[in-house]
Amino acid sequence: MEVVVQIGPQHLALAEPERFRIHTEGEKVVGVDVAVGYNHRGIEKLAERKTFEQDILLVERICGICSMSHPVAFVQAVEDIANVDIPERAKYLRMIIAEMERIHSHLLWAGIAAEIIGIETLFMYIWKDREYVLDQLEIITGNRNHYAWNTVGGCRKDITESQFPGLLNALEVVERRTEYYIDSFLRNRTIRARLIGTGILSHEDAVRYCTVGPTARGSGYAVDVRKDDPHLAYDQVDFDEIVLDGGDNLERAKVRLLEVIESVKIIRQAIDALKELPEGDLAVPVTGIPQGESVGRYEAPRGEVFHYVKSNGTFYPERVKIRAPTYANIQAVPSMLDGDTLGDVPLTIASIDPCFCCTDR
Amino acid sequence: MTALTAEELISRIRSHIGKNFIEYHTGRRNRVFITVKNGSHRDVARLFSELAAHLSVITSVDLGEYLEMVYHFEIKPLQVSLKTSAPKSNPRIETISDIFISAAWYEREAMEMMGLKITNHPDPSHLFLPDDYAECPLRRY
Repeated sequence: MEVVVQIGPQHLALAEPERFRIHTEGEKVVGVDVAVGYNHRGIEKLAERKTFEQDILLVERICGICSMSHPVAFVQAVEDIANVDIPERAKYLRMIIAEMERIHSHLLWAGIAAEIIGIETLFMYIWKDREYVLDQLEIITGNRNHYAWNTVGGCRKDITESQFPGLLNALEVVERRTEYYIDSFLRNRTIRARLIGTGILSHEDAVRYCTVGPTARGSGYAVDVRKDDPHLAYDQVDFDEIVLDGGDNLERAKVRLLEVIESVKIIRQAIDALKELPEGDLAVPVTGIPQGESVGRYEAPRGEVFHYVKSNGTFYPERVKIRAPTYANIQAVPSMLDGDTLGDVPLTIASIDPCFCCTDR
Repeated sequence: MTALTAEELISRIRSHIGKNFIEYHTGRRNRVFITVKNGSHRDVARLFSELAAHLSVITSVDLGEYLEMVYHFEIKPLQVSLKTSAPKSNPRIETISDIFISAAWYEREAMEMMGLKITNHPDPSHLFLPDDYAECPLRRY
């Protein structure tokens, strides 16, 4: 007999409001209905009523974690319309903060996964280590989140020579600790038992649902905006795109943790490059945005952030379309859950690193 | 598969849909914007699916007299935006969710936010807005 279990909109297993209706036969999941929209704030409409400069701060507030990814995607689209090339230093500055965001987001995810699995100590350890990155973000930008780092034409602040040692030190700690966590995820029997073979997303479904980010890369679907559509200085630094084939929860966890190591590599190279570039060359002046349209993309920690901006030549955009990574990935969740047991549902939903406030905007 | 250039892609679309091709322009960093007649977007979407395209999202835009749908595809290394429009008095555009399964949600959003009528859609219910909300909040004109 089929029993429907409703998870959400308000539920202990979910950090944000969204509704999953799980159809079960005994413990087995036989179907899932997803309903979104409980966090809809009308940001696309609001963006049309604000100037381009104000919109940078507005899109920063779509998500508490991706507060660098959204503005980078947005300003890149606007800079394309205005036909502006930002200074070389600004490219590296944006890249450093964005990669620090990736590190703290992936560590946040790993902590939540550890908590759902039931190992609270690991959760506490991981979140403690995440603080090293957040502290550096606060020292450099003035905020742990919502950095207000971008402007059309470049960056608003600089990273000074005196801030490099602290940042490099934090990276060293994070790298060492992440290697330990990779070891924990790969060797610990309890964690492996929960992750292996659960929430399987086949390669075909990953492609069919046009998934993005670690969710896609854990199923062997190589999509990474940093490689596919080079921007900022990603073509100047050496890093690997982590693509694994298994498609289960373990592979997605591995992709994220291995990406932390890659992000550390990117930031180190960016710091070396910054030392060679003249300080203070932050932004080029942009006066007025002409009529036009463009697409801005950035590889946020959860996957591709997509912004389409259309300008009518005034101070206000004609249309801003925002697609956050979870909006693409959540559609593949029913396929992941199909055939799993009810107890694996919270972990599998968490395995796409869902951000419902991004999805709903 | 070798990487397509914008010109090669345009000539393939032209030979595929003939006079239903309206115009195109290119932006910086491999951005391509293509406008086709309403109806032909399905033929182009089918062509794109053969080229292993990735559907990023679908945008709906209010042009005043017309409502426009912009389908954003990635065909590495190109970022292609395919546009088609329908008059506001009868904004009917056929779904592409049978070709790209993830289009279904983006089309539902276009229906509730812009008031487009997506025909042959498998599930035309509201996605983000309450079921009884009848306004089209993203319409401008």
